[in-house]
Amino acid sequence: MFPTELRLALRRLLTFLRPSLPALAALIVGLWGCVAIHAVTSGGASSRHFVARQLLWVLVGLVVFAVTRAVPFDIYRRHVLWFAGVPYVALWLVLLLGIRINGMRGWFAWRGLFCQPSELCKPVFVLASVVCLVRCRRRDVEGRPGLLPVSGCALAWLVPLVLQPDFGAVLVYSMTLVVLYWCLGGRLRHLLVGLGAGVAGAALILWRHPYVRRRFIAFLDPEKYATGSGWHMLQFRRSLAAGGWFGHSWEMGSWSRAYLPLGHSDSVFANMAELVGFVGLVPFVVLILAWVVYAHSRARKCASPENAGTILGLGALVAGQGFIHLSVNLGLLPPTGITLPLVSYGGSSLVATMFAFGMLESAWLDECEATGPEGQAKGM
Amino acid sequence: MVLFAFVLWFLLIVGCMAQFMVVRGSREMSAMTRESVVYRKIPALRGRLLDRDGRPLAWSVRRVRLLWDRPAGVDSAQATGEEIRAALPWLVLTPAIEPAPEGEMPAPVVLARDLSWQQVREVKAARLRGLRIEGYVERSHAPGPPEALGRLGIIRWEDGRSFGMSGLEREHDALLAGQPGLYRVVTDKHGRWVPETWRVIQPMRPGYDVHVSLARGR
Repeated sequence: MFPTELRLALRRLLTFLRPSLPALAALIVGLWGCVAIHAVTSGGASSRHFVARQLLWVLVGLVVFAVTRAVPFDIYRRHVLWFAGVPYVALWLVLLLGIRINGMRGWFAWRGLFCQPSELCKPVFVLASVVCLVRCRRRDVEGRPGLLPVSGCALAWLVPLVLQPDFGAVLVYSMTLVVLYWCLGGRLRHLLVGLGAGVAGAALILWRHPYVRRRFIAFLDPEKYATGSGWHMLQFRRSLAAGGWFGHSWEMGSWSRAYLPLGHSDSVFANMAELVGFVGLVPFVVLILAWVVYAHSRARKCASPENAGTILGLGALVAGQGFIHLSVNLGLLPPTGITLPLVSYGGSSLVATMFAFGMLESAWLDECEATGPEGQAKGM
Repeated sequence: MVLFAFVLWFLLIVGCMAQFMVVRGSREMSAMTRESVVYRKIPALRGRLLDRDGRPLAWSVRRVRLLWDRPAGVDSAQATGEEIRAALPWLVLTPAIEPAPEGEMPAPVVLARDLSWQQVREVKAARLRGLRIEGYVERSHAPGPPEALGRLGIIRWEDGRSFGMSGLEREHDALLAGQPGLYRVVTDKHGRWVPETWRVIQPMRPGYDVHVSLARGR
């Protein structure tokens, strides 16, 4: 059994040498991210440090993509407890052993290396949720996932994130779970119950965390709180305005550098807007949409609900995170710390995204192999 | 359904981008300019006072000094101070860093005067945040007895322009003074310069040299 899988893995690894659309797109976007990080950190002593590290992570990400793509999807499916369990334990351990940055206890730090479990957990969260929902669906008389498994998934993954607190990740995980539940045949009334619970949870968070409350109030009228909680939102707007049509970089793109907080990570889209302008940004937003279309078209062709769910879930996870980042930078959502996949500075986010890409491709290859020689030709 | 939701989200995002980057761009830009761009004078280089043999009696020298817009917190100022010390070992930093008044930014600290071009290059190469190089003009005199210096007179600086207050400096002020220039620079949220944004709007016009009937002593 195992040698067969090993042979399959080796054959898939060789296929990585052939052009792979997601890997190529990821490489281009990753390099673009390095340029954006350089632009916002140049002038400081640590610019080279940021760019060199990000370049290194892009290369590591490509290797992670190749390996995760080569692993047969059946292995992920059968060993889901291990794949999801280890990062999940890390998600709880970080509450005890992690370090606090910007008020959030979400990183392990060791000799200058930082690791954020909430980022690394994202692809395995999709895998675990799909497996859980599909297996529970089989037991359900109507063949639909029930409220209990989806609530269990939501509680299990969201509670440690709320405790950190990482509200950006909570948003991404919740959105992905909603997409998964809906696509696997979930009921509308259950989603409405979930929405109600989400609103109640948000109200509780607003009540418990005064800084979140201040940010939310400032989100409704940023100019009124221009020197306080609305500052960040105003700087988003101004960095966007500085970009104009073609990125006529106002005073050499200095607004992001001088005013925009976290221009290399949580505000990287506004930073890019100043550099390349509206015309330069639209292709990037189209690329994010193209990723969902790509995942959606592949998921529709899948016969296995686990493959379809994983492919669509991972597509929605990456694209949804991208759109949430853009929405925060455009003032459509209250400011929250969320990275732009492949572009924002950070190894955990980049590696997790490439892991998601690899797992998506693995699920598609599995589907192609299951449909026989015709499918194999299509997938390889 | 999922795809439809993402397409709607995409359209909303592109619409918002167009609104902020194109439609409302000029309004935001004028607010940005109002709040962050400062215009300052470039001091005019005062002309020389020359003796009857054409030897300089009083002249202006443009020098550069190193200023440090230090962080408000004492701890972060000390940490940055250590970075500066490590990068520019020839600098003498005062060991104690005074805390800034509550709610105010600390005044810039003059770290060094009359920097050499080698030192300027080193400062630029270090690319440390908070350090900036600023030009200033100093009036020098030929050595001589106090009464001769009294004849030459004194000047004062105001708004980038020098004014002769007494003696020959006052007598020939219209010729000596020159015309200050103008520059603009973007400041960050703490009011500190963003060095790359410095632009000359109007160049400075130096003053004329004036020959006087005095003789410079040997």
